[in-house]
Amino acid sequence: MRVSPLFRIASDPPARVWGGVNSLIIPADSVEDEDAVYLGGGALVSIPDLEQLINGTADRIDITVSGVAAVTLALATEEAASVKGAAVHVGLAYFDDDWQLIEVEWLAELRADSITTDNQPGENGRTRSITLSIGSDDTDRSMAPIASWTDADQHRISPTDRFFDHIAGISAGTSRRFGPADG
Amino acid sequence: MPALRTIHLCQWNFADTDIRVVNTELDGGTSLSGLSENIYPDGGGYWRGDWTGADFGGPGDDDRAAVLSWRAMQAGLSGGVAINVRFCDRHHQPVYGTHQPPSFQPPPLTDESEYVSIGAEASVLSVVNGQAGGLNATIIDIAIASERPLIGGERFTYVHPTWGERCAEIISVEDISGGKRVKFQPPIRGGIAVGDPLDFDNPRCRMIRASQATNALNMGLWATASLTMVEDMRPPE
Repeated sequence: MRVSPLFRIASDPPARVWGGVNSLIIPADSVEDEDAVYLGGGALVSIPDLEQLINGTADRIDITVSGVAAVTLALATEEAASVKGAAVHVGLAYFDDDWQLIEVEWLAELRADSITTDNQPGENGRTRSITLSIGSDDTDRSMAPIASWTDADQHRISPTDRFFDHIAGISAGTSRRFGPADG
Repeated sequence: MPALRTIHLCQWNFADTDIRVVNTELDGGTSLSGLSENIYPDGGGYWRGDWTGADFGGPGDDDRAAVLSWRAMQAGLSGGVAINVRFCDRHHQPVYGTHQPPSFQPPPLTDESEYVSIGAEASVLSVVNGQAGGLNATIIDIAIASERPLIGGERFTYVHPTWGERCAEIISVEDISGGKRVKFQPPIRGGIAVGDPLDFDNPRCRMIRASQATNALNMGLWATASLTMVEDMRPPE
Protein backbone atom coordinates (compact mmCIF):
# COMPACT_ATOMS: atom_id res chain seq x y z
CA MET A 1 0.00 0.00 0.00
CA ARG A 2 1.46 3.28 -1.06
CA VAL A 3 0.22 5.97 1.26
CA SER A 4 1.97 8.81 3.02
CA PRO A 5 0.99 11.43 5.60
CA LEU A 6 0.45 15.09 4.77
CA PHE A 7 0.86 17.82 7.28
CA ARG A 8 0.01 21.51 6.87
CA ILE A 9 0.31 24.36 9.37
CA ALA A 10 -1.49 27.55 8.33
CA SER A 11 1.23 29.79 9.68
CA ASP A 12 2.49 32.67 7.57
CA PRO A 13 3.75 31.41 5.18
CA PRO A 14 2.12 27.98 5.56
CA ALA A 15 4.38 25.08 6.44
CA ARG A 16 3.75 22.03 4.24
CA VAL A 17 5.44 18.68 4.80
CA TRP A 18 4.68 15.16 3.63
CA GLY A 19 6.19 11.82 4.51
CA GLY A 20 8.09 11.13 1.29
CA VAL A 21 11.53 12.25 0.17
CA ASN A 22 10.81 14.33 -2.91
CA SER A 23 8.71 17.47 -3.37
CA LEU A 24 5.05 16.73 -4.07
CA ILE A 25 2.42 18.98 -5.64
CA ILE A 26 -0.96 18.70 -3.91
CA PRO A 27 -3.76 19.92 -6.20
CA ALA A 28 -6.14 22.64 -5.05
CA ASP A 29 -8.94 21.34 -2.85
CA SER A 30 -10.92 22.33 0.21
CA VAL A 31 -7.73 22.92 2.20
CA GLU A 32 -5.42 24.38 -0.44
CA ASP A 33 -6.72 27.32 -2.48
CA GLU A 34 -4.32 26.53 -5.29
CA ASP A 35 -1.79 23.83 -6.14
CA ALA A 36 0.81 23.72 -3.41
CA VAL A 37 4.25 22.16 -3.12
CA TYR A 38 4.77 19.94 -0.10
CA LEU A 39 8.34 19.41 1.01
CA GLY A 40 9.57 15.90 1.59
CA GLY A 41 10.10 15.19 5.26
CA GLY A 42 11.59 11.79 4.54
CA ALA A 43 10.89 9.08 7.03
CA LEU A 44 11.17 11.68 9.72
CA VAL A 45 7.58 12.72 10.18
CA SER A 46 5.40 10.58 12.36
CA ILE A 47 1.79 11.30 13.01
CA PRO A 48 -0.03 9.47 15.80
CA ASP A 49 -3.56 8.11 15.76
CA LEU A 50 -6.26 10.70 15.49
CA GLU A 51 -9.43 10.41 17.50
CA GLN A 52 -12.72 12.15 17.07
CA LEU A 53 -14.19 14.47 19.65
CA ILE A 54 -16.26 12.07 21.74
CA ASN A 55 -18.03 12.54 25.03
CA GLY A 56 -16.81 16.07 25.34
CA THR A 57 -13.21 15.01 25.76
CA ALA A 58 -10.94 16.09 22.99
CA ASP A 59 -7.81 14.48 21.79
CA ARG A 60 -4.45 16.14 22.14
CA ILE A 61 -1.60 14.86 20.03
CA ASP A 62 2.03 15.63 19.53
CA ILE A 63 3.61 15.58 16.11
CA THR A 64 7.35 15.24 16.15
CA VAL A 65 9.87 15.84 13.41
CA SER A 66 13.33 14.60 14.23
CA GLY A 67 16.61 14.79 12.39
CA VAL A 68 16.11 18.50 11.97
CA ALA A 69 18.82 20.77 10.64
CA ALA A 70 20.21 23.31 13.07
CA VAL A 71 18.83 26.16 10.97
CA THR A 72 15.31 24.73 11.08
CA LEU A 73 15.56 24.30 14.81
CA ALA A 74 16.50 27.96 15.21
CA LEU A 75 13.57 28.97 13.00
CA ALA A 76 11.18 26.87 15.04
CA THR A 77 12.29 28.67 18.14
CA GLU A 78 11.93 32.09 16.56
CA GLU A 79 8.63 31.37 14.85
CA ALA A 80 7.01 29.60 17.78
CA ALA A 81 4.83 32.59 18.61
CA SER A 82 3.34 32.87 15.11
CA VAL A 83 2.42 29.20 15.00
CA LYS A 84 0.27 29.26 18.12
CA GLY A 85 -3.38 29.12 17.18
CA ALA A 86 -2.73 28.32 13.52
CA ALA A 87 -4.93 25.73 11.85
CA VAL A 88 -3.24 22.38 11.31
CA HIS A 89 -4.45 19.93 8.67
CA VAL A 90 -3.47 16.30 8.69
CA GLY A 91 -4.17 14.08 5.71
CA LEU A 92 -3.08 11.14 3.62
CA ALA A 93 -1.82 11.01 0.06
CA TYR A 94 -2.45 7.81 -1.93
CA PHE A 95 -0.26 6.68 -4.82
CA ASP A 96 -0.69 4.22 -7.68
CA ASP A 97 1.78 1.58 -8.88
CA ASP A 98 3.81 4.20 -10.72
CA TRP A 99 4.04 6.44 -7.65
CA GLN A 100 1.61 8.93 -9.12
CA LEU A 101 -0.67 10.78 -6.73
CA ILE A 102 -4.23 9.51 -7.10
CA GLU A 103 -6.06 10.88 -4.09
CA VAL A 104 -5.67 13.22 -1.16
CA GLU A 105 -7.75 12.59 1.92
CA TRP A 106 -7.79 15.15 4.71
CA LEU A 107 -8.38 13.47 8.03
CA ALA A 108 -8.53 16.21 10.59
CA GLU A 109 -8.37 19.91 11.19
CA LEU A 110 -6.63 20.75 14.41
CA ARG A 111 -5.29 23.79 16.18
CA ALA A 112 -1.62 24.34 16.86
CA ASP A 113 -0.80 24.99 20.46
CA SER A 114 2.87 25.16 21.20
CA ILE A 115 6.15 24.25 19.60
CA THR A 116 8.92 22.77 21.65
CA THR A 117 12.39 21.93 20.48
CA ASP A 118 14.77 19.34 21.74
CA ASN A 119 18.48 18.96 21.21
CA GLN A 120 20.13 15.94 22.80
CA PRO A 121 23.68 14.67 22.51
CA GLY A 122 23.93 11.01 21.54
CA GLU A 123 26.43 8.42 20.39
CA ASN A 124 26.19 9.47 16.75
CA GLY A 125 26.19 13.20 17.31
CA ARG A 126 23.32 15.39 18.41
CA THR A 127 19.70 14.48 17.83
CA ARG A 128 17.43 17.40 17.25
CA SER A 129 13.67 17.29 17.13
CA ILE A 130 10.75 19.68 16.94
CA THR A 131 7.47 18.76 18.59
CA LEU A 132 4.22 20.50 17.84
CA SER A 133 1.42 20.03 20.34
CA ILE A 134 -1.99 20.31 18.75
CA GLY A 135 -5.57 19.89 19.88
CA SER A 136 -8.89 19.43 18.15
CA ASP A 137 -10.24 22.60 16.65
CA ASP A 138 -12.45 23.61 19.55
CA THR A 139 -10.60 22.41 22.59
CA ASP A 140 -9.60 24.40 25.61
CA ARG A 141 -8.13 23.52 28.95
CA SER A 142 -11.46 23.49 30.82
CA MET A 143 -13.00 20.41 32.39
CA ALA A 144 -15.05 18.23 30.12
CA PRO A 145 -18.77 19.04 30.21
CA ILE A 146 -21.18 16.30 31.25
CA ALA A 147 -21.70 14.35 28.11
CA SER A 148 -23.26 11.11 29.30
CA TRP A 149 -26.47 10.94 31.30
CA THR A 150 -27.02 9.11 34.53
CA ASP A 151 -30.24 8.35 36.36
CA ALA A 152 -29.27 10.91 39.01
CA ASP A 153 -28.88 13.63 36.37
CA GLN A 154 -32.33 12.91 35.05
CA HIS A 155 -33.93 12.85 38.50
CA ARG A 156 -32.49 16.28 39.21
CA ILE A 157 -34.43 17.62 36.21
CA SER A 158 -37.56 15.45 36.45
CA PRO A 159 -37.76 13.68 39.83
CA THR A 160 -40.48 11.27 38.72
CA ASP A 161 -39.07 10.26 35.34
CA ARG A 162 -37.82 6.67 35.40
CA PHE A 163 -36.57 6.61 31.80
CA PHE A 164 -32.91 6.24 32.85
CA ASP A 165 -33.58 3.71 35.63
CA HIS A 166 -31.49 0.97 34.13
CA ILE A 167 -28.63 3.06 32.75
CA ALA A 168 -26.26 1.84 35.45
CA GLY A 169 -26.90 -1.75 34.41
CA ILE A 170 -26.15 -1.22 30.76
CA SER A 171 -22.62 -1.93 29.76
CA ALA A 172 -20.85 -3.81 27.04
CA GLY A 173 -21.68 -7.51 27.08
CA THR A 174 -24.85 -7.21 29.17
CA SER A 175 -28.10 -8.73 27.84
CA ARG A 176 -31.24 -6.83 28.72
CA ARG A 177 -34.64 -8.23 28.43
CA PHE A 178 -37.37 -6.13 26.83
CA GLY A 179 -41.11 -6.62 26.58
CA PRO A 180 -43.61 -8.01 29.10
CA ALA A 181 -42.41 -10.63 31.54
CA ASP A 182 -43.50 -14.20 30.92
CA GLY A 183 -46.64 -15.32 32.74
CA MET B 1 39.98 27.64 -5.23
CA PRO B 2 37.43 25.22 -6.68
CA ALA B 3 35.19 23.45 -4.19
CA LEU B 4 34.92 19.72 -4.03
CA ARG B 5 32.19 18.92 -6.56
CA THR B 6 32.67 15.43 -7.94
CA ILE B 7 34.16 12.25 -6.58
CA HIS B 8 35.20 9.20 -8.47
CA LEU B 9 35.12 6.48 -5.86
CA CYS B 10 36.78 3.73 -7.85
CA GLN B 11 40.12 5.42 -7.40
CA TRP B 12 40.18 3.83 -3.92
CA ASN B 13 39.52 0.27 -5.15
CA PHE B 14 36.63 -0.72 -2.92
CA ALA B 15 36.11 -4.45 -2.57
CA ASP B 16 32.34 -4.07 -2.26
CA THR B 17 30.17 -1.48 -3.87
CA ASP B 18 26.45 -1.44 -3.19
CA ILE B 19 24.56 1.38 -4.88
CA ARG B 20 20.79 1.00 -5.00
CA VAL B 21 17.43 2.67 -4.55
CA VAL B 22 16.07 1.99 -1.07
CA ASN B 23 12.49 2.26 0.15
CA THR B 24 11.11 3.14 3.52
CA GLU B 25 8.81 0.32 4.62
CA LEU B 26 6.37 0.30 7.50
CA ASP B 27 4.66 -2.80 8.81
CA GLY B 28 0.94 -2.29 8.48
CA GLY B 29 0.12 -4.80 11.21
CA THR B 30 -1.11 -8.38 11.05
CA SER B 31 -4.79 -9.23 10.71
CA LEU B 32 -6.53 -12.10 12.52
CA SER B 33 -6.10 -14.26 9.44
CA GLY B 34 -2.36 -13.78 9.64
CA LEU B 35 -2.03 -11.53 6.63
CA SER B 36 -0.09 -8.33 6.85
CA GLU B 37 0.39 -5.50 4.46
CA ASN B 38 3.39 -3.24 4.28
CA ILE B 39 3.04 0.48 3.81
CA TYR B 40 5.44 2.40 1.61
CA PRO B 41 5.28 6.07 2.56
CA ASP B 42 8.36 7.51 0.89
CA GLY B 43 7.03 8.35 -2.56
CA GLY B 44 9.35 6.09 -4.56
CA GLY B 45 12.62 5.66 -2.71
CA TYR B 46 16.00 7.34 -2.79
CA TRP B 47 19.57 6.43 -3.68
CA ARG B 48 21.92 4.96 -1.16
CA GLY B 49 25.47 3.75 -1.66
CA ASP B 50 27.71 1.68 0.59
CA TRP B 51 31.34 1.34 -0.33
CA THR B 52 33.33 -0.98 1.89
CA GLY B 53 36.69 -2.63 2.00
CA ALA B 54 38.83 -0.08 0.26
CA ASP B 55 42.42 -1.18 0.40
CA PHE B 56 44.92 1.48 -0.33
CA GLY B 57 47.91 3.12 1.22
CA GLY B 58 50.99 0.97 0.71
CA PRO B 59 54.53 2.29 0.66
CA GLY B 60 54.33 3.46 -2.95
CA ASP B 61 53.99 7.05 -3.96
CA ASP B 62 50.67 6.41 -5.71
CA ASP B 63 49.29 4.95 -2.52
CA ARG B 64 50.42 7.95 -0.57
CA ALA B 65 48.38 10.08 -2.94
CA ALA B 66 45.39 7.78 -2.49
CA VAL B 67 45.45 8.17 1.27
CA LEU B 68 45.82 11.90 1.02
CA SER B 69 43.04 12.25 -1.54
CA TRP B 70 40.81 10.12 0.72
CA ARG B 71 41.51 12.48 3.59
CA ALA B 72 40.88 15.49 1.40
CA MET B 73 37.57 14.02 0.28
CA GLN B 74 36.46 13.21 3.82
CA ALA B 75 37.33 16.72 4.92
CA GLY B 76 35.45 18.15 1.96
CA LEU B 77 32.32 16.14 2.76
CA SER B 78 32.05 17.17 6.37
CA GLY B 79 29.12 19.25 7.49
CA GLY B 80 26.62 17.80 5.02
CA VAL B 81 28.26 19.03 1.82
CA ALA B 82 26.44 17.60 -1.22
CA ILE B 83 28.58 16.17 -3.99
CA ASN B 84 28.11 14.40 -7.32
CA VAL B 85 29.08 10.77 -6.88
CA ARG B 86 30.15 8.81 -9.97
CA PHE B 87 28.79 5.28 -9.85
CA CYS B 88 31.76 3.90 -11.82
CA ASP B 89 29.65 1.10 -13.28
CA ARG B 90 30.19 1.41 -17.01
CA HIS B 91 30.09 -2.35 -17.48
CA HIS B 92 26.39 -2.38 -16.68
CA GLN B 93 25.51 0.49 -18.97
CA PRO B 94 24.46 0.21 -22.65
CA VAL B 95 28.02 0.89 -23.84
CA TYR B 96 31.13 -1.11 -24.58
CA GLY B 97 34.58 -0.49 -23.23
CA THR B 98 36.16 -1.06 -19.89
CA HIS B 99 36.26 1.56 -17.27
CA GLN B 100 39.53 3.35 -16.62
CA PRO B 101 39.88 5.05 -13.27
CA PRO B 102 41.77 8.30 -13.49
CA SER B 103 45.29 8.57 -12.21
CA PHE B 104 45.94 9.67 -8.68
CA GLN B 105 48.20 12.56 -9.56
CA PRO B 106 46.97 15.11 -9.05
CA PRO B 107 43.99 13.96 -6.93
CA PRO B 108 41.15 14.25 -9.44
CA LEU B 109 38.58 15.77 -7.13
CA THR B 110 37.72 18.95 -8.95
CA ASP B 111 38.43 18.27 -12.60
CA GLU B 112 35.50 16.70 -14.44
CA SER B 113 37.23 16.54 -17.81
CA GLU B 114 38.71 13.14 -17.02
CA TYR B 115 35.29 11.53 -16.78
CA VAL B 116 33.80 12.66 -20.08
CA SER B 117 33.28 9.81 -22.53
CA ILE B 118 31.41 9.05 -25.72
CA GLY B 119 28.93 6.21 -25.76
CA ALA B 120 25.16 6.16 -25.47
CA GLU B 121 23.48 9.35 -26.60
CA ALA B 122 19.96 9.87 -25.29
CA SER B 123 17.38 12.58 -24.79
CA VAL B 124 13.80 12.95 -23.63
CA LEU B 125 11.10 12.62 -26.33
CA SER B 126 8.14 13.12 -24.04
CA VAL B 127 7.24 12.93 -20.39
CA VAL B 128 4.43 10.39 -19.97
CA ASN B 129 3.33 10.88 -16.38
CA GLY B 130 4.25 13.04 -13.41
CA GLN B 131 3.22 16.43 -12.10
CA ALA B 132 3.86 19.97 -13.34
CA GLY B 133 7.20 20.19 -15.16
CA GLY B 134 7.74 16.45 -14.98
CA LEU B 135 8.14 16.38 -11.20
CA ASN B 136 7.69 12.85 -9.83
CA ALA B 137 7.46 11.33 -13.32
CA THR B 138 8.30 7.62 -13.50
CA ILE B 139 7.66 6.94 -17.21
CA ILE B 140 9.28 8.84 -20.07
CA ASP B 141 9.79 8.29 -23.78
CA ILE B 142 13.40 8.61 -24.87
CA ALA B 143 15.39 8.69 -28.08
CA ILE B 144 18.58 6.70 -27.68
CA ALA B 145 21.50 5.68 -29.89
CA SER B 146 23.51 3.24 -27.84
CA GLU B 147 26.23 0.68 -28.48
CA ARG B 148 24.23 -1.99 -26.64
CA PRO B 149 20.45 -2.29 -26.51
CA LEU B 150 18.54 -1.17 -23.46
CA ILE B 151 17.26 -4.18 -21.55
CA GLY B 152 16.31 -2.68 -18.18
CA GLY B 153 18.45 -2.21 -15.09
CA GLU B 154 20.55 0.51 -16.68
CA ARG B 155 20.91 3.84 -14.96
CA PHE B 156 20.88 7.30 -16.40
CA THR B 157 21.54 10.78 -15.09
CA TYR B 158 19.53 13.90 -15.81
CA VAL B 159 20.40 17.38 -14.66
CA HIS B 160 17.92 19.77 -13.10
CA PRO B 161 18.82 23.47 -12.75
CA THR B 162 18.38 23.51 -8.97
CA TRP B 163 18.22 19.87 -7.86
CA GLY B 164 21.41 19.15 -9.75
CA GLU B 165 22.56 15.80 -11.11
CA ARG B 166 20.15 12.98 -10.30
CA CYS B 167 20.05 9.36 -11.25
CA ALA B 168 17.28 6.94 -12.22
CA GLU B 169 17.28 3.17 -12.69
CA ILE B 170 15.26 1.62 -15.51
CA ILE B 171 12.59 -0.90 -14.52
CA SER B 172 11.22 -1.79 -17.95
CA VAL B 173 11.74 -0.89 -21.60
CA GLU B 174 9.07 -0.84 -24.30
CA ASP B 175 9.55 -0.12 -28.01
CA ILE B 176 7.68 2.85 -29.41
CA SER B 177 8.02 4.57 -32.75
CA GLY B 178 11.17 6.65 -32.74
CA GLY B 179 12.50 5.46 -29.43
CA LYS B 180 11.82 3.65 -26.19
CA ARG B 181 9.34 4.07 -23.40
CA VAL B 182 11.11 3.50 -20.11
CA LYS B 183 9.74 3.12 -16.63
CA PHE B 184 12.17 3.85 -13.83
CA GLN B 185 12.73 4.56 -10.16
CA PRO B 186 13.04 6.77 -8.16
CA PRO B 187 10.63 9.48 -9.42
CA ILE B 188 12.08 12.56 -11.13
CA ARG B 189 13.48 15.16 -8.76
CA GLY B 190 12.68 18.77 -9.57
CA GLY B 191 11.45 18.15 -13.10
CA ILE B 192 12.40 17.07 -16.61
CA ALA B 193 11.52 18.46 -20.03
CA VAL B 194 11.36 17.33 -23.65
CA GLY B 195 14.82 17.52 -25.17
CA ASP B 196 16.72 17.17 -21.91
CA PRO B 197 19.84 15.03 -22.37
CA LEU B 198 20.11 11.74 -20.48
CA ASP B 199 23.58 10.50 -19.62
CA PHE B 200 23.90 6.72 -19.77
CA ASP B 201 27.70 6.83 -19.94
CA ASN B 202 28.37 8.17 -16.51
CA PRO B 203 25.55 7.61 -14.04
CA ARG B 204 26.00 9.84 -11.05
CA CYS B 205 23.92 11.34 -8.31
CA ARG B 206 24.03 14.22 -5.88
CA MET B 207 24.64 12.69 -2.48
CA ILE B 208 25.73 13.49 1.03
CA ARG B 209 27.77 11.42 3.43
CA ALA B 210 25.74 9.37 5.91
CA SER B 211 28.61 7.70 7.74
CA GLN B 212 31.24 9.11 10.00
CA ALA B 213 34.64 9.87 8.51
CA THR B 214 37.13 7.04 8.87
CA ASN B 215 40.75 6.77 7.97
CA ALA B 216 42.20 3.69 9.62
CA LEU B 217 45.87 3.26 8.85
CA ASN B 218 47.35 -0.15 9.50
CA MET B 219 50.96 -0.06 10.71
CA GLY B 220 51.04 3.53 9.63
CA LEU B 221 51.01 2.58 5.97
CA TRP B 222 48.11 0.48 4.73
CA ALA B 223 44.61 1.78 4.93
CA THR B 224 41.16 0.31 4.85
CA ALA B 225 38.11 2.48 4.53
CA SER B 226 34.39 2.47 4.03
CA LEU B 227 31.88 5.10 3.10
CA THR B 228 28.09 5.44 3.05
CA MET B 229 26.34 8.08 1.01
CA VAL B 230 22.63 8.88 0.61
CA GLU B 231 20.89 11.00 -1.98
CA ASP B 232 20.73 14.64 -0.99
CA MET B 233 17.01 15.34 -0.66
CA ARG B 234 17.22 18.73 0.98
CA PRO B 235 15.15 21.12 -1.13
CA PRO B 236 17.42 23.48 -3.08
CA GLU B 237 17.49 27.04 -1.85
